[in-house]
Parts: sequence; C-alpha cells; structure tokens
Amino acid sequence: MLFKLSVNNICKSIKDYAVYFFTIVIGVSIFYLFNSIEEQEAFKKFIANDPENMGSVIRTLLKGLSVFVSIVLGLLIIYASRFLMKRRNREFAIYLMLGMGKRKVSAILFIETLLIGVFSLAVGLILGIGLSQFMSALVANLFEADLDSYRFVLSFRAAKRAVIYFGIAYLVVMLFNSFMVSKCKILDLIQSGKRSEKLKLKNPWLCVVIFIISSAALAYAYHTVTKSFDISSKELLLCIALGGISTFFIFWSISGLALKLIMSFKGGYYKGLNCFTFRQISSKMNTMVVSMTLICLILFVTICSLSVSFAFRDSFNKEFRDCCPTDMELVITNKKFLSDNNKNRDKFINETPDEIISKTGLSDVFSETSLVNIYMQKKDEENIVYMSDLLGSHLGEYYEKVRDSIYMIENVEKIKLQILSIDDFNKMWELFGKDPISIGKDEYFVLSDEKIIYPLMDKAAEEGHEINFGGHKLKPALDKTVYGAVDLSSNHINSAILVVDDSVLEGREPMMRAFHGNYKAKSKAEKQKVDKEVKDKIMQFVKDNYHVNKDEANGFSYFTTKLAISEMVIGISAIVTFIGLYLGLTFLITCAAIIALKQLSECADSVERYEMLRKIGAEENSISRSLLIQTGTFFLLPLLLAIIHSIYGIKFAKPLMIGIFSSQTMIPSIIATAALIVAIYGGYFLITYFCGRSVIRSRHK
Amino acid sequence: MELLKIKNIEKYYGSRSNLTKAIDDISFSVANGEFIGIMGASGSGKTTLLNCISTIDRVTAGNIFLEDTDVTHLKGSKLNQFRREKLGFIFQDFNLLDTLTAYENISLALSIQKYPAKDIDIAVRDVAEKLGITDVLSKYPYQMSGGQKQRVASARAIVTKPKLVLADEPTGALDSKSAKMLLERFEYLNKDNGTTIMMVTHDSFTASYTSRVIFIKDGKIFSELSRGNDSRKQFFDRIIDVVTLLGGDMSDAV
Repeated sequence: MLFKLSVNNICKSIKDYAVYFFTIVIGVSIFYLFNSIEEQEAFKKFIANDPENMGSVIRTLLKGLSVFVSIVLGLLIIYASRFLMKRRNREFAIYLMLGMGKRKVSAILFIETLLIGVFSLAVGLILGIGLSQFMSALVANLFEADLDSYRFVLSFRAAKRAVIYFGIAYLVVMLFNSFMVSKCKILDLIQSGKRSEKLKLKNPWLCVVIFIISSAALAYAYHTVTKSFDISSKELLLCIALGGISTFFIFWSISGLALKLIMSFKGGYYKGLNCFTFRQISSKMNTMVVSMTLICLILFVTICSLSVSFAFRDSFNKEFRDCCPTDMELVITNKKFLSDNNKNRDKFINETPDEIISKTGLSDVFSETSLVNIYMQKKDEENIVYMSDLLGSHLGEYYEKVRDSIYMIENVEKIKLQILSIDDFNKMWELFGKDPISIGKDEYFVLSDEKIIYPLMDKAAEEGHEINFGGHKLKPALDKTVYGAVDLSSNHINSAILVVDDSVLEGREPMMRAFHGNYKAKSKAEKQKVDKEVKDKIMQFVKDNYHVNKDEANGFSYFTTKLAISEMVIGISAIVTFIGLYLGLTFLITCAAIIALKQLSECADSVERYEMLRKIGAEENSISRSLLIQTGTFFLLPLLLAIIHSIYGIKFAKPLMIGIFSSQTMIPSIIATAALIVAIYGGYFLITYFCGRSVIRSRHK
Repeated sequence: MELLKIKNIEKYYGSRSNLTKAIDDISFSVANGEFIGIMGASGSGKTTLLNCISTIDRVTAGNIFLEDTDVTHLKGSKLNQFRREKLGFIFQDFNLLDTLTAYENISLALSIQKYPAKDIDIAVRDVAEKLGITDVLSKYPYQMSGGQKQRVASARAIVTKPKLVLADEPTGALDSKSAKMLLERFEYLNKDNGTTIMMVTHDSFTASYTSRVIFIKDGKIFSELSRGNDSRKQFFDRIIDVVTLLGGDMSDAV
C-alpha cells in the first residue's frame, strides 16, 4: 500500500522530480566518468612506463577529489529534496489529517527517495559508462597515448565507488527527510501554500551608496591582484575577502536598485508585461542575494580553474618541445676542475660522459651525438664576467621587472657566467638541427632563453658593448642574443651562457662535459624501449661504480632524456587539467541546479499569478517571454559578475601557472571553457525554462 | 440597444453515460448600460454561465453574441484579443498580483493592451478617482483592506473601457460595510459612466443593487425580476420572495 502510494506520487510529480533526477544522473555519470579513468587504456599505458610515480599520485588525488565531489553533490541532493518536500507539504498535511502516522509518512518518503535514488543511480551509471567510451579519446589526448584499437571500458571499481558514495548521500537525505517530517506540525503544513509575502523595500539612496562602495572595493581588489606579481598572502586574502563581501553587497544593492532604475523609464516599464516581470524578478532577488553570491563565486572559481588549467596544459606541452631538442643528455662534472684539497674529489666519477656511453655499450643506440665542454670562471680570476655585464644599460630595467616577481633571480652582479667554445657550440647546435654560427677570434655572443632576461639581453646585444674576459677584450659578434640552452628541461630556464672562440679558452680545464645524443630508433615504441635501456644502463653504471650515497653519485651532474621529461610534463599537465575539469564540471552542475530549482519553485508558487494574467487577457506568448526574461536574469546575473571576476582572476592566475611574460594566449582555453559553460549552464537554463513553462501552464489547457 | 445576446446555450460535463447538464438551454439578452444580476444556489450553473460568456469555458451548443461577434466561434489570439478589449473581470478573491502595487495592477491591464505609456497615468488616476482609491495607489495588496482590494480589482476591470464587465461574487469575500461601498460604486459606474455590468451572486442584498435579476436553477432560467421604479428596499423584498420560492438553499444567504 505504501509502496503503491510512493510510486504513484513519483509518477504524479514527475515534473518536480525532473531537475532533481537530471542533476543526480549527471552527477553520478561525471563521478563515474572520472573515477573510471584508471581503467582507461591510455592511462594504463601511461602508468606502465611512468618514471615519477604519477600514476599513484593521480589515484590518490582521484580518491580525495571524489570524496569532496560526493560531499558537494550530497549537499545538492539534500537541497533539492528539501525543495521537493516543500512542494508537497499540503499532500503530507492530508496524510497526517487522515490519521496516517508520521512514521508512515516518513516511510512513504523513504521509499520514494530510495526509488528515485536507485533509478537515477542506475541511469547515471549507464550514462557514465556510455560517456566513458568517448572519454577514452579524451584520456588518450590527456596522456598523449596512441590508442591502437577501441576497447569497451567498464570500471567496476568506479561503479562500486559511485554506488557507495552516492548510497551514503541518499542515506543522509532519507534520514534528513524523516527528521523533517517528524518535526513538522499539521497547521504549518496546511498553511504553507498560502504565503503572504511582505516586500521589504530598500532605501534606494542607501543602495546607491552601497553599490558605489562595493564597486570601488571590487575595483581595488582587482587592481591589487593584477598590479604586480609580488602580492603577499595577507593582501591576497584581503582581496579574496573583499571580493566575496562586495559581490554580496553588489547583488544586495542591485536587488533594491534595479527596479527603481527600470521604473524610472516609464515608457519601458509600463509596456506589456514588463512591470509584472520586473516585480517578479525583484521580489525573488531579495530572497536570493545569498545564493546568488555563492553561485557567482563558485562560477568564478569554475571559470578560472577550467580556463587556466587548459591553458597551462597547452603552454606546458608546447614549451617542453622547444626545450628538448635532443633525445638524451648526460652531464658529468670534470674531476680535474676541482681543487686538489677537495675532500670528495676521490669519490667523483672518473669517466667523461662519452666514456660512460661506450663503457655501458650504448654507443650503438645513437645515430648522432655531440660532446660540449662547459667552462666556469674561477673565483680568483681577474676580469670575471658577471651576468650583469651582459645586460648593459638594461640592468635597472631587469631589476624593475623582477622586483615584484616571486621568481626572484639572485643578484645578477654576482653570477659568474658559464662559457662554451664556438666549436663545441656549433657541433651541439647542428645536432639540435640549427645553422652554425661563426665568430672572429676576439668576438663573443650570448645564449639565453629565460623569459625575463632574454629580451633584455637581446636589446643589450643590439647596443653592443665589449667585455673583458681572462685578459681578452671581446667584441659582440652578433647584434642579437641567440635563443637557446644547453640542457634539456621542461621549460625555459637558461639565463645566459657566453660563447667565445676556442683560442680564448686555451689552457682552461672545463668544469663539466655535456653529452647529447639522438637515438637511431624512429618509431615511438622503439624509442621508448631504447630510452628505458639507456636509463637503466646508465643508472646501473653509476650505482655500481660510485655509491657515495644510496642514490647519488658525486660528479654525476645531470642526466635526463626527452621521454622522461615528456612523461613528467604530460603527467603534471594531465593532473592539472583533470582536477580543473572534474571540479569545474561538478561546480557548474551544482550552480546550475540550484538556480534551476529555485526558479522552478518560484514558478510553482506563481501559478496563480500567471493564471491571473491570462484572465485579464495576456497572450500566452508574452507570458512565456516574461518567464524567459525572469529565468534568464537569474541565470545570467551571477554569470555576468563571475565573468568580470574571472577576467581579473585569470590575469592573476596566468603568470602563476604559465609564466610571467609567456606569450601563451589564453584565447583557445577561454573558448573551450565558454563552450563547456554554454553547454551545461545553457542546458540547465533551457530545461528550467521549459519545465517552468509547463508548470505555469499546468492548470491551463 | 442590445449588447449581449445569449441564444439557446447548453453546457454538458462528463461522458455520455454520466452526463451533467450545467446549463440547459438558456437564452436572454442584456441591453447596453444595464446592471444585471444572476442569482442561483451553489451548483445551479451561474458560474458556468459566466465562464461561457467570458470565453474562459466553451459552450456545448448555442451562440453568444457580443455586439455582432459570435464569441463561441472565436479561437486563439482572436479570442485573447476579444477578451482583452471587450471584457473586464472582477473576481471573488480579487486576483490582484501581490508583487505589484495597486497602480501597477491597474496599469497592467492597459499595458497588456499595448496602451501608450504616456496615456496610462491619466487613465489610471481617472479610474482610481471614480472608485475612491487614489490614496492607496502606491500600496501593495497586503497593505490594503478587502474592500480596497476589490475596488482596485474593479478599477483594473473597467480601466480598459470594456463593453461588458463580468463580476463573479464580487462581495463574497467582503464584510457588509465594504460590500455596500463597492456596490454603490458599481451603481455609480453603471449610472454615470454607462458601464454595462453583469454580476453573479447568491446574495439577495447584493442583487438588490442591480436593475434586473435572472434566477437560475439546475441550469435553467427559473425566473426574472426587473427593478423598474422600485426603491432598492422594495426590490430587495421582491428578490427575497423569489429566493424563498427557489428553495431553502438560499434562505441563509441574506
């Protein structure tokens, strides 16, 4: 009997349940989608040759995020079910008046929640499983893996996790509902349909003042976060607090002000249903200031995290390709360079990098190689060339640029430059696939690619000034600075290296030798195999011969391969994108669902009013238009302010995530974010509008 | 001059096996400038009749002419337009929009008819003066008394200068003092403004303000009374007589 009643209730109020159902289904499918990533072919491939343990990092992250996401969605479900409860107060009152016990009413609700829960969970999982088939393409792209063939993916682990997490959320909802029923009084339930809403009118002048003050506060916060990169955490917290509070007051004052403003345009206000529409909006807005503020802030976080994470991935991936011109690099410190009284000298590696390569039998894997001697100026030398000497008149400008930076580079006056010979440089340069550069005996040029210092050095080189090095007066060979670096790395970090003629360096002992090599292997799979062999053999060699510490060997300066860097880069950017997407989507759904529920409950409460409008002869079209304007306002207003927030938020976050003077454009990632928001937020908007329209038409046939 | 002509209308509810005749062959006509009352017990069909005239409900058979238009043949936007331009409504429970002020409630009826905004103010203030609600124009429905609300609703109904004002139990939710005040206003509108009013009521006192009363019982016209040159008191007594004849149902409704 109770079961039948519950089923009937659900069928009856299917319209009310639509948004609730839709939200849970999307929530569950997103939850499944992201949790099923572990079963994706591409992810497994990535884990298989993963050096930095990225896989387990992602797994841990996934678990943590999923707990957080399920809490957010759980709260949303509670909120939505409260909305449904309110809609049905009258019905409960009838049950209670007919003598049904509160426990039985609770049981009806319990069964209903259970049914809806099981059903939506099932639909959500099915949808998730369906979507995860498409997700494999995305994951493959994320981890840059080639998918050989399509494979059906079904993650029991993700499904189990979804069932458990959402099961708990439902349990909480059911307990909450039962609690609400046991607490209510019949009289309140009966009268809940009649509401005598009193309109609180705000003093318009107060609104104007508060609007101006909060706009000014926002402007100040915007200015502070974007003016420099050296923002202290205290200032940042102040700005965040200011932003949040002024968002609230802007909505508060708009809710009091907008109507007055519109009313002053008599021609527009007294036209068609306009005055009804704006009154509806303003009365609703008064009760929605807090939720609009929260939604606006969540949207702001969503937009920023989505667009910045997309851009981060783009720039990170692009940059690393520039920075890795060869397949591997091995740098070994020259033992002879060290002074005789260095205690650790005996423990240093004897071999040069090329000797290590041949000793480990790796010579055959390389198609081409180069060996570069890197020289260092000693402390006791005369005429030391410091980095500041290369900046010339732009030294002040440099300090100005880095002053506010969190990436403060040490005193450039004290950094001694490293030096290469032109012959070595050209050999390496050819290996990098670039044209050799020729210079005269008393000439020099500079190799640099660091984002702040490079453009300044380039300008300084244009002016051209002589430097004094080891008794040689050197003139600039080029009117520019050469863009590049010796070491393979994930981003541009080479401040400056001096390149001079071989004769200038005669009699000097190099400090380090850098070996670069390209593999013979051509295909990606072969390269991976070779790369693993190279890594294993070199690490083994170092371990066998130089076990100073457990993992470390003195004089073993730097060893990396392009693939190792690429995996790290892919891993990090995948994690960032992943978090951005996961949280972004969850937040987006939450915001949209809250507005949708609010708007629908408003429609249900206003059925009488719309009926009234029809009776006095309003056209169905203009009633629909009025509803469209109302729904649109509540969806657009928080989004609008969130977009304004985001412009500055992204400006602030971009240098942190991507680099200060990166030329990386944000436009593609902003477009991707916008598309995502339009799809989900817009989808909710349309559903809300159509559901709302059918609600207000329900009594009208 | 004949404004409204109702010709042999019928309204059936339910299926063939379980038929309810809400209106069973009713015909009468209303002249321009008349104040006509429709009386009957609950379930007699008086509200159905009003709904059919007001085009909210459709007749099963018969015709309703307002001026030269047969409203039973109107459809869609034509119907809306007709309702908007020719009819004014007053309801028992006022049906004011609680989010709007009295002024806006009245002006809404005009702006729906696409009245130029500059003319709205004059029209609203003019009608408000006639109904004595100038001082409550800026108030919200919850700040007004029942009588004030009903007068605002009446102002909304007549501000568009409709051919016919339909009032469904307008005094039903009012105390006797407010009811009397409202009815005096109706009388004034009818006499001095020439507004044609058709009022459904089951209250003999309310009906006594009209110039003619039609009694309905079980979907048929039971009787008809014209006020003629009687005073309101005399007319009231005659109505009471008919009501007594109609049956006990209405005797409590005085």
